[in-house]
Amino acid sequence: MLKLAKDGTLTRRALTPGELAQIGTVKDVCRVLSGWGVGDLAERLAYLASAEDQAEDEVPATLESSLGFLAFYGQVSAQALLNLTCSPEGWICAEWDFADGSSVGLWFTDCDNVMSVATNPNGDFVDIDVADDNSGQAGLRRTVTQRLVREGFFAWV
Amino acid sequence: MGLTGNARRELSPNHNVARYCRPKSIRPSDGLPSRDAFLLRPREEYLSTNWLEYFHESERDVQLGNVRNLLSGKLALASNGRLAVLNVAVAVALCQSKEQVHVRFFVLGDRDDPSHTGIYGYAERNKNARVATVLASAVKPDEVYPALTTRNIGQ
Repeated sequence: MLKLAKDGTLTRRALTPGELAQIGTVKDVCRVLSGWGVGDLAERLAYLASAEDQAEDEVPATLESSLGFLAFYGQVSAQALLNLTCSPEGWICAEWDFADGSSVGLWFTDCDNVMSVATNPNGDFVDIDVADDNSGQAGLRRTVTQRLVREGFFAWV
Repeated sequence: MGLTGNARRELSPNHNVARYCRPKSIRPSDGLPSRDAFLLRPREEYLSTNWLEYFHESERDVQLGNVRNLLSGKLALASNGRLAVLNVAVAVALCQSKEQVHVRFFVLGDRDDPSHTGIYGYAERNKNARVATVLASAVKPDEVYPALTTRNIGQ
């Protein structure tokens, strides 16, 4: 598990696959987010992964999806309003709303794959589809991240 | 209005539907439904909604009260869930202009819920996330209502 400083903080940075593999619970993911100074996101994720407000046929946010979000959030930053929600399958859905009206929506289907949508200030879609056949299937998180940085939505941390 | 007569009937453009949005699909920053609230689940062919004009009431509060009563019999509505209203014409036009997808609103009316409708046309994988994004943007902020009111809570 990542080692926090004595004051409980941690420098936000890209996590290695080995470090991600050591994070075994959503509670640990929340601890890292808190260490990065985003306690509100940690609190939100804890709620999404809880049984609170959960219908019988729904799954709380999964560890795999939470790790995917954590890995992404550690790699890139943006000046945008971020909202986290959760699908009935337990996929974290992250929405970034930018001041110019553009937006990015990502569903972390597991640790390595993400379903992505990005729009420009006019609400038109920006092509960041990474599936080979343009099928809209979840693409590799790493590739999606690179494309979102290239399109100027995010900057590397 | 007979159930048989409702089969595969398409809604008029000037009509409206309400979508029940689970608490975990609501954005904490503004209380509005996220795009996730309009994403089709795996193997889902249409998005379930309720037709507001079915009730022949002009007041939105009354229409939504009827929807709440019907949905309470089918789902465990959460007090912090929301009902988001979509206008058919607005949703169809936006999906057409932004993604060249022709979504269609069909009445599905069943015995337990005669106002049940489905939004069809975006079950393909390459359309789902984008159309869900467009539908979320088609919801006017002042057309998002509590899923339960004090009258319904505890029913």
